[in-house]
Amino acid sequence: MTLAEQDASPAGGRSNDARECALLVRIAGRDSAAMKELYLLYHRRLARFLMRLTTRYDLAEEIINDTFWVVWQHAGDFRGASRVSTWILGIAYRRGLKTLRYAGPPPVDIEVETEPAADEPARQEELNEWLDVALRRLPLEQRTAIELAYHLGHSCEEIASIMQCPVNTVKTRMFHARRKLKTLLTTLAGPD
Amino acid sequence: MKLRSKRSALHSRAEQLIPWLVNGSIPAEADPALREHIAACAQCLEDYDEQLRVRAAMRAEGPLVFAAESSYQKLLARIQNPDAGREPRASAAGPDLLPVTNPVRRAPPVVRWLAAAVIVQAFAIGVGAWMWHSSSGASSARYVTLTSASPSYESGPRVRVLFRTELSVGGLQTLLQGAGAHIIDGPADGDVYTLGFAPPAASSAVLAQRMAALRANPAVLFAEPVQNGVR
Repeated sequence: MTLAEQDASPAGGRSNDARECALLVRIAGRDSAAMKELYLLYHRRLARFLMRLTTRYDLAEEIINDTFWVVWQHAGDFRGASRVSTWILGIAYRRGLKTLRYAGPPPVDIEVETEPAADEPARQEELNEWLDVALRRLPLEQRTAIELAYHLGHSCEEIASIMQCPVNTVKTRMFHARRKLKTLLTTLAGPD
Repeated sequence: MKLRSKRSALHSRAEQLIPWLVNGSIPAEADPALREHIAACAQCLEDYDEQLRVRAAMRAEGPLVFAAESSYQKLLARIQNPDAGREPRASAAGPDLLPVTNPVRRAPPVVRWLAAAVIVQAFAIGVGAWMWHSSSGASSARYVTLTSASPSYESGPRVRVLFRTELSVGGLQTLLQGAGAHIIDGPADGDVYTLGFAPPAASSAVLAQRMAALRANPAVLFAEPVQNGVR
């Protein structure tokens, strides 16, 4: 079971959370070994999430370290009102938005040439590629909501907490994200 | 009539809740009526299956490799010497977690006056240099020897690239020539190189063509343009 899978399953999520809460307590006591453990536990997850959020490799690494800088400074302020992962993802999301504001417009959007779909059903590999392109074309809030739900396995309420918006807004963002993805994937797959 | 409106309400609820059924945050045993509806409704079932495929694709591991250890060392250096490391640009911890930040200090008037004088002086030197360059003729032939200075790619577009480890030196040269690119930095963390482009690559159309050439090459695992202002 991968970390993302553990995070997605409620039981796995709870046991992870107890472990991560314990790490935060140690970090609040300035335990750098605990800091390293939590950092390595989250690095890949955050890297993927921030790559999707910013679409930029160079910024993702910077935001991860900014996020953990905040974790180091404020671990003692964590009161357990949410899961640790929700708290950390919330910090990363807000840091990501702030960094994007400073970083300027997104990079040149490269058009991807697509070939007409083959007779057999689209392979998973092709879907992965098209999905990557399609996700880049979604508005940032919709892209983030779907990444948090499908890649990181967060619930609607947790996503609302991370993105600091009402639960119904998350539902609406997911609804529109799914509809746009469907249209984009159909376009990218070419005519039947 | 009543049955139809109940079915319609279930359908609307299913449309909203399918993502949370798919990602497991609504437990399998919860809401049996909703699950029965999805199983019986062709439209909902198609949506459910499609979302399962999308989720599987999004959870697939990509080719990117992040160097967690070396990134952590940078953070550790910042923790151990917070005065040397840069502060976060602004609070991201939320309203209940405001980091302590130094208030913005305004420079004394004399310092501000000196800074303005330096800017004016720099501008004057720049104008003078430009006039001298224009008058001396800039049409010298481009003849490159081993001791010639390399052309500068400082102002041009840049791209971060991750090559396959099996790529040979010869293969790399061919790849770079094909894309009109030059290595200007790297390998950095995770063996990422920074490429600059030989002129003309100023327009986004030309850059897009060269990016497409890079990405089409099977030896390139990852290629992303670098933002203006990020070096």
